[in-house]
Amino acid sequence: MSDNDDAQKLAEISRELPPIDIDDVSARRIAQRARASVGRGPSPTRFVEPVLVGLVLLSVLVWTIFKLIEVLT
Amino acid sequence: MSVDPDERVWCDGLRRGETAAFDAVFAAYRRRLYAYFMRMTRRRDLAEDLLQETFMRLAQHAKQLAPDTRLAAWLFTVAHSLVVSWGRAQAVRKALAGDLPVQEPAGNERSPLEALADSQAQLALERAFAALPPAYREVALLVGIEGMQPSEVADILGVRPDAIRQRLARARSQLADSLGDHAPASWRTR
Repeated sequence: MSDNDDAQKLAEISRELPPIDIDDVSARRIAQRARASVGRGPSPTRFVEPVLVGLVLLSVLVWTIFKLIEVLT
Repeated sequence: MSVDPDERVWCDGLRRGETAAFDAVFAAYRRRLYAYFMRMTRRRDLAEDLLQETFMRLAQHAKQLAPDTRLAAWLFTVAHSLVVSWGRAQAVRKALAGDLPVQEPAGNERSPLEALADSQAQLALERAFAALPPAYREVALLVGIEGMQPSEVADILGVRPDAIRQRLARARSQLADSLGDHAPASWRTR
């Protein structure tokens, strides 16, 4: 059986599925929240956490290197 | 694949940060995406959250859209990745729960999707779709309901077209088995 036939038969049966839609109140709420972000791009605060983690890791690494040098000399 | 002229206008509007273009896209896709999320997660609250996240991402990436972006493919790619993330989180939660008793819905209780069914045939169909493994169900929904081409679905899911054709055939075969007498006549004459 070809995939076109499979697709066609699935389309045929899918038409019988009951329609589903989100209620208008929830849809309005979602649209309103998302609309406020149109064209603004993701919030820059998303970089704060990785930068903090990076700084902590870097300081631990530097501290370890200094300690190693101290022990070895 | 060519881009629908309406979609090109919406894309241009989104790239300029126009909320009217966003509203048009929301109106055109909210039902389709919500139905997809409902049938993939079977939870109304989650479907709403994922729908919101999808449109938040569209809003945030509006200015980076290419002029010839196919919005259906773009939105369903985001939707698919959100469902995959949710599925992984579910698997981790289940693994962490270990032997804790899980509260299962009563056997005769209808799911929100089943409650929408008007007839026994619709109920049987909804149950047959729900019984499909998620990977087959997703392909069946995107091809069957959304009318997408298998090659387009392959792009959205990030798998080879062969795999989509295989999932499509298996989904159809499992649906036919699950539906039994409720299957359309043309399905039974194989």
